Amino acid sequence: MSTTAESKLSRFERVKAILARAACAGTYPYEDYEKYWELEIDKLEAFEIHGIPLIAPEEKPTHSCCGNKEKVAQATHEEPQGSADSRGARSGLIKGLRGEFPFDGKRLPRLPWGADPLPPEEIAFIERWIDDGCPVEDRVHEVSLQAGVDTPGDERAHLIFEPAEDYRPGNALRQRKNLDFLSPAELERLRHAFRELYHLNRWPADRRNYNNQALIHQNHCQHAWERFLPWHRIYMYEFEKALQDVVPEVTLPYWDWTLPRYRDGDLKGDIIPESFKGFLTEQSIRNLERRCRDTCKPDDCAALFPLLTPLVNRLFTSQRTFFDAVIAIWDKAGLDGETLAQRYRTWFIDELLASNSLWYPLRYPAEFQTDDGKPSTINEIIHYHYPSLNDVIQIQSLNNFRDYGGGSRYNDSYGWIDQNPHNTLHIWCGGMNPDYEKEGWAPEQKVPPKGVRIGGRTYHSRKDLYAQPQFGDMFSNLTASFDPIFWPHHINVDRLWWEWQCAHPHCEPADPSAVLTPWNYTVRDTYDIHRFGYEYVVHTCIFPVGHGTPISRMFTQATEIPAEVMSSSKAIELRLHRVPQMPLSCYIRAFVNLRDACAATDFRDNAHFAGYIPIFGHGICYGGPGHCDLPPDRQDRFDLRDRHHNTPRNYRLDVTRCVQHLAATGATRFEVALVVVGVDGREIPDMLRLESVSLNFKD
Amino acid sequence: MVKTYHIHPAIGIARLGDSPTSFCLSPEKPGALPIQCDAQGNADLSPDGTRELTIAKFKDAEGRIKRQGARFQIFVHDEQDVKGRRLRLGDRIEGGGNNGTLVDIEWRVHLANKKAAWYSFQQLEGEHGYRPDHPLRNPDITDAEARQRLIIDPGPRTVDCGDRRRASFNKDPDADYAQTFPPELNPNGIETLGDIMTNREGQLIVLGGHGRSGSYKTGMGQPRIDHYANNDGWFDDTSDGPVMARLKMYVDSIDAYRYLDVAGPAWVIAAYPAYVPQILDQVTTDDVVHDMGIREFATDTGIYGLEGSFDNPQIVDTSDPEALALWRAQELQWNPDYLPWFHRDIWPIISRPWYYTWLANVLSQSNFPHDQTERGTFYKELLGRPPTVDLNRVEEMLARESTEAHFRKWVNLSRSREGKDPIEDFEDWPESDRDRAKSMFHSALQTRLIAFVRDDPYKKNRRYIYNVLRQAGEENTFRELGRPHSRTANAPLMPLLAGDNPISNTLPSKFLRLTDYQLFILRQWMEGKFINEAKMATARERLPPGMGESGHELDRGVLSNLCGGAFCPGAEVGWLIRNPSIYTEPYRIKAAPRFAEFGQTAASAYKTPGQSFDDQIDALNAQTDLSVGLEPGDLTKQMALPWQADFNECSMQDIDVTYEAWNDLYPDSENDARLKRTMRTWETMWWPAHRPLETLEVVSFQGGQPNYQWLGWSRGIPQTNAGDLKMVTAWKDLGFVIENPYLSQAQLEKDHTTDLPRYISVERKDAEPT
Repeated sequence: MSTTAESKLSRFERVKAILARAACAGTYPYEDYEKYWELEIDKLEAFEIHGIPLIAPEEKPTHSCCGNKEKVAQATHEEPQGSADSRGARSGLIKGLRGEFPFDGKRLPRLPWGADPLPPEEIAFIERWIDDGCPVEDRVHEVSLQAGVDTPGDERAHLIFEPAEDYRPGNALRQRKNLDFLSPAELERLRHAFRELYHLNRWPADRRNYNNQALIHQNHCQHAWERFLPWHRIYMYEFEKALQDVVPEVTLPYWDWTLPRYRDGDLKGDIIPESFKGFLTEQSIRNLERRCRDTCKPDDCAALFPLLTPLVNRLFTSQRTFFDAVIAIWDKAGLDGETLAQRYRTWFIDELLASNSLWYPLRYPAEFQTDDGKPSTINEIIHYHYPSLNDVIQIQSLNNFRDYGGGSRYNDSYGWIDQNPHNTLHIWCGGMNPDYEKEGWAPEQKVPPKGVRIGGRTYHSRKDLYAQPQFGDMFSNLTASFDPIFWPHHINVDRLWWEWQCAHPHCEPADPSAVLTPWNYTVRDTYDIHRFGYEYVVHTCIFPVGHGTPISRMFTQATEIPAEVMSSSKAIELRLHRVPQMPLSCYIRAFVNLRDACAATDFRDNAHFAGYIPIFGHGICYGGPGHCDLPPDRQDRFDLRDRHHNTPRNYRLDVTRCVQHLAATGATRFEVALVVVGVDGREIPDMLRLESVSLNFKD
Repeated sequence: MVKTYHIHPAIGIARLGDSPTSFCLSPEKPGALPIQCDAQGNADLSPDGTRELTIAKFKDAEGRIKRQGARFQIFVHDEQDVKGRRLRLGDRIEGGGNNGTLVDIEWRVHLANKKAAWYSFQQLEGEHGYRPDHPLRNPDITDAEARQRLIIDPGPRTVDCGDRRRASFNKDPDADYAQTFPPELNPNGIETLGDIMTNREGQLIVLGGHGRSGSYKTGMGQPRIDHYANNDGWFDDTSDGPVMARLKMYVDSIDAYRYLDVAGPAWVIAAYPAYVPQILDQVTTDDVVHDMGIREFATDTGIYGLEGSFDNPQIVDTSDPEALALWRAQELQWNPDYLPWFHRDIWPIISRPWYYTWLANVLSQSNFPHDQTERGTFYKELLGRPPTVDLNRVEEMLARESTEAHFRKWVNLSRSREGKDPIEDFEDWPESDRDRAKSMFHSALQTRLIAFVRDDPYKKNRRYIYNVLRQAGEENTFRELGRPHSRTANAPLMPLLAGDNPISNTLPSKFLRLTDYQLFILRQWMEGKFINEAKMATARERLPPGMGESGHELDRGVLSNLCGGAFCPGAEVGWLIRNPSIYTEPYRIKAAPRFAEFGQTAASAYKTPGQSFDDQIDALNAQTDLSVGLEPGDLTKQMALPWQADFNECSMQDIDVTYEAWNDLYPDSENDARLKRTMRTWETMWWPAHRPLETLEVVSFQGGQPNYQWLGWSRGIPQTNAGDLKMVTAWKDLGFVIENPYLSQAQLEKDHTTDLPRYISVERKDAEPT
């Protein structure tokens, strides 16, 4: 900031000089003051052009009876300079100089009239001068801030609720979440569910088993036209239901390919999600040792496999990278690593499958070779590129279903979502097997007697997983669904479609009545995901409370939110689940990261205030005992009466602004405080009951 | 911000011409001459390369009218350029998840003419849906298959900037597409609806037909014309249809080509020649669409919007029909504080009638009410002067000593009204009460003083002009003769031009009126709420609509050369153009997807480069389905068939002004002699800027100076059915009316008398003097 020491002129004089110089070309009378900038400061502050104050009036601080004076002063001082709300930005002079409405040339010409526009730095100078209260002589106002008050002793311990993972509020939608932010427990649940379906493969005729689920895709997949999206929405739903039959709480997560960690397919970033990579555990090493002993192999097992202990829990994207690491260790120990690795290859595959049911051997992500076997890239070999965030934004901005999801005619009618990210990611994940027909690595292909055969391979069999095909299973439509990474990939496509649907509510496929075989759904049935009982969130923190105790004030435990979750969330929603009706009308105020929140807390100009939910009270019960008891979660199937009058409600509050603001100022852990306040401004005890509270990060 | 691509103009205009090969480009700015171009459609530039040259001749060496091509180009909108800039081959583009270099543009156009298969035109009947028993044209053809043959449909054509640079909408028995063309016609058969081509900039040029019209009926008395708009058996070669573009990019990162469709097609209309290119109609098509946009699509909520929201105009998602419906359901009004600009907004409307002086002999004698000279009603200097207020004088008066005495008097007067005791000693009065009263007094006084010193000497001049304007609901009012509320001293209401239905007793609408938007800004002007921007705004800011460089300005510029009323049925387009149901947004026609998309999606186009798959399209629909969108031929199918009939007749019209609700009176039925005696008609013009009556022509030279003569512009062609038939072949012989090339620029700028031969007709067949 310049001072009188630096320049002889005061800022006011400099502002006048700028305006005079700018307007010297034209001398149009600005509402009869030919040179309005020569007015006295008080007249200038009152000066209007066509009813628009040239300098916006100062905003009077709102005095409240309970807020103390320091706080008000502080709030005024904090009015952000140069922000859209600042006095300068509100002033007609600044709007006019910048050519903003109503000086946008439509209603009034840009200022100065009849002359060239001012350079932005001069406009900013004038704006700062207005923000600083249009001083005639420059004086720098300093306001010293009070040191922060110590947080009081934690008297609210009993009100703090802890998060839970295995918990879903009654009747709430299931949440499909971002794969990369799942908790270890959620991930383990998902692995377990897959394992259970694999296990059922032993009964080939059981329609629930994984192979039969995968065969639906092989036999019926709709692709390269408008049924692509609706068909896969149902496929995902049906498969998710099959998983939920064995693990009720599981949902299929989505793989957001555009997270920064994937670096747009740069090979230095993550190639596939970590959870789908292969790894050995200590148990794997022991298993290998035991197996070696049991089968009387010639090698010294006791020495051989423990050498690999440094590899435990290291993640491997593909077979090749895994075996390279194994060979390196054995070579270093003076052994013939390559021969040994070839010898025990199938054992390793067994162990990798056992340690992570999401790993898949016939998957060679981002591995591509030229005709003469040299390593290459997807761009060069396939002429496709990994989709960047910008690519996806472009596709999401398409404004008709045909361009987006595909045309109504069978031939030649890919939509962009199908062709570009979807196809590309299939090929990316499948990849080309670097060990295809490589001597010593590719086992002799024996043709088994029965089972589904395609190109010399037989599905329905563990043996098939030892094969060395030319391409990964995700590479081709007929084999893709055998690789479990197929699911999070397609869930992401479904999520993008849903987001696109919300943004383009009138864009639908041409033939809504078409049946999606092998099921009986029509295309029209798929438009709304909520009827299938799920929604998409990046991440959720849920805090069970229980209907047992009424509360007037509650706090959730502070929870760490990863930066990637924050950055990929467009909206953050606080939900109050299953709140029974309250007798009195009141407000539920929500604060974030404010440990001493109470009814007296001033919520105006309070950065921690996230919003409030107005409750329309039910009134005092006029019935007899039990009249207002909570109804059961689910109505009895033969109970055809209308919804119970006291069915608990769900409430949602958008807290995006508040949380994002706090995150921007450095917060990474968040806790929510709820305060029930009556119309008289006082806390109401013993009224609010709720089943749970959740904080949902939506993208 | 995602880059978006759009074709502009959103609606382009091609003009018919009988020259087989010569053509130029139709004007893209209001009142401009056509653009001169080479045989590939590249505009000829001035020697310094800064501007496009306009044509010197409308006809070719053999005296045949040159066709005028509609030029389409692609604009890109992004953060760098919110208003859009022209996209050029070689630019970087992105979309559909790819980004690369623009190497080619594929253009696809589908023209058709559905006039013969559509309903009979009966003035305003059908504007809000046709009655089930509304008659069809060619009603004797009832079989659905046979009626399909009444559509002229050559199918779509695709061109690009490589080796498919040209294509014709010709009749081709070997076409893959199931074409329909009329049988042999008399006097002129139709073998084509036009041509398309790309120029070296990758722009598309669409050329329409050759003005060939004929009837398939034969025998004694055929061909014949019986009606201005409906003639069974007839076909003409006007047309319209969607224009689509697909961008081809080279993506270097993957060494491959990818395609991207420009979403939302443009539309092209091929209509009859604009014989008076430099004079605008009193209401242009641009005026109509702009007005509709403001009222129906919330395009300027600072002008027309929710009451009380004008300082902070509502932002409405104009692409969301639900949001628009909700917006329209509010209490909308015109912004009472809106200040139109005099030169940009007001003058272009009120100056237009003056130009008609040179389009009809009667006006050359009697257009003095529109006189723009110093003594005239339309003297620009006076009309453009807004009221002024000398605030210094107000300050002075407020500061006078007597003001304090007035204040005391005022306080005690108001106290006595409230039954309170007067204040004797003002020093004793509590200071806070005194201050409050003083500030109230001062602001009240200031308001009055401002009104008092307000200097607005020309308000009466503006009010006179505004008062004679025909307001909404007064379409059938000739003048307010004898009305208690008459505001016009019995002068006829303006514009005094024929309306949408001066013909029948069903839905009469005898006279033209300005659009709501035009009337609104003129009201503001009349009240003194306007800006004279001459010194305030830069030359660029002052440009009237359609003169700017953005894609949207191009949309407006092109449509400003089309007639915006009366629509009976109109010149290039009819009342369909003001129906919001045909748009996705103002200016952008909602196209039926089946006919407005390439045969395959852009995502799969790389697999079959150069193949159009146009054979997969279904037949055009004889009905309209506005919920789906317009098909080729739908925008002009209500227009007159053949166009020459209505064009010939739309010179003058006798309008019965006896009673407002009736155009036809039947005094003979009861031998009502009194009614017969009181019947009166007013003969008025239709749209002189599209169909002149008489014009000045150079008949000889004397000492190198031209001699002028007022002559019938279409002499030898009577205003009868026989004349209509003659016009079918004579249209190509007519002259074009242009700004007099024998006058100097200084004369044109300085001399505003109607004596100056400002516009003359040239190139009339066999009438060029030497």
